[in-house]
Amino acid sequence: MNSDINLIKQEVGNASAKRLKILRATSVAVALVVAVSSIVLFAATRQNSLEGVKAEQNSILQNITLLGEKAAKLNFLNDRVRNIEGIINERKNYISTVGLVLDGMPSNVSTSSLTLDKENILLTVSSNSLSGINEFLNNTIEFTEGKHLLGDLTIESLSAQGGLYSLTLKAKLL
Amino acid sequence: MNKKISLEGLTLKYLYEKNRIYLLPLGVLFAGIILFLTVTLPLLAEFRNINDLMAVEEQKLSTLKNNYNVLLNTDEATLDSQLTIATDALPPGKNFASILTAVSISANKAGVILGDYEFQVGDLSKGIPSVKYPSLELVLTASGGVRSILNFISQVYSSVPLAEIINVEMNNNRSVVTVNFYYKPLPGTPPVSSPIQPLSSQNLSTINTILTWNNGRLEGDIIPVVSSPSAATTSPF
Repeated sequence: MNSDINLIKQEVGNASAKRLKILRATSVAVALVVAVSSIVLFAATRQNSLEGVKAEQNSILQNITLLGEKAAKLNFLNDRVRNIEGIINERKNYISTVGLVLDGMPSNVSTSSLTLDKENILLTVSSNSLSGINEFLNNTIEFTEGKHLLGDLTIESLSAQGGLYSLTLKAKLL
Repeated sequence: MNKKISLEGLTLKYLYEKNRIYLLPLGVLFAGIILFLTVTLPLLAEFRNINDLMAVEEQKLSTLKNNYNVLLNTDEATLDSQLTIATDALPPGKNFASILTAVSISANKAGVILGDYEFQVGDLSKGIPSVKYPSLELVLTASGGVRSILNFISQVYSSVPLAEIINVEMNNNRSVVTVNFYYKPLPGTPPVSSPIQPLSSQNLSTINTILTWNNGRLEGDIIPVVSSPSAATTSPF
């Protein structure tokens, strides 16, 4: 019976020893980790030398300073070309569109007036032949439908005065 | 022998004796945690800061090296020539002479006769307008058929300085054409550490295209405009 009691006591003693062992191991591990990581970080921090990079930068800067005029010119050139390309891409070139509309004009029809802005075209043509006006109108409608360069094509007026027919067309430049 | 022993003292002594073996590892553990918080963590923060700083400085160094190589490989005579062409196309200021030359050359090539013209200079006291692409507006009258006027516009589009036709009003053979001629002040000199790029192939193509355009400076004499200018409302000239 006594041995049973002793056995229980032994278990309690073992648990305590185990706890102590774990505590010791943990404390040693923590101390080691802290010490090693601190040393490594300290060494790594000191090893990354900014001075070397700065010195190299200064050396190159001195060389670039000697080419300062060329650098300024190249910067100006880049700025000019960038802006030139921007303007060329943004500016509206509707000459070809108007030219194509005029290409559809029969020989017996002439342009009386033309108003162009960045958005719209207003074109008045006249002829003493109504069939010529009709042909031009059909050509323009066909062109508008086919090329998609004009939109919102409307007839502003169609009049006849003294045997001269006039047609005014308005369209949006696309 | 009558010495008094306090109960609390005995209890503490008992507890000390019982747990003495734990005190050293607990002390080491505690010291380790304190050292971690006061030494290791600040070192880690410093390490990360230095690493970030190094990355920035390395990038700067790389940019400087690249800039230096670009400058070394750029031929100065070619650069001067390209800059002249680009500045002709987009002058840093209002260049009236080159505008009139461009208009004259375009009119001559298109076969239209120029009439009155006026520059809309705008309010000079306001300085350069804060728009993306400042421009100088020129309103001119021209005589010629519709095809000639279209050809004139086409010629103006292929002239330096860069222009954009913003309005055309043609009635019979007389047209009033409003043209915007673009200019742009030169930018300030950027910091040395900002990247310098050589011209791309597209940029070179643009320069080569402009080189084929009407340019009064390249074509020699400035052709005078037919009529004298009418009084512009805000023109100082």
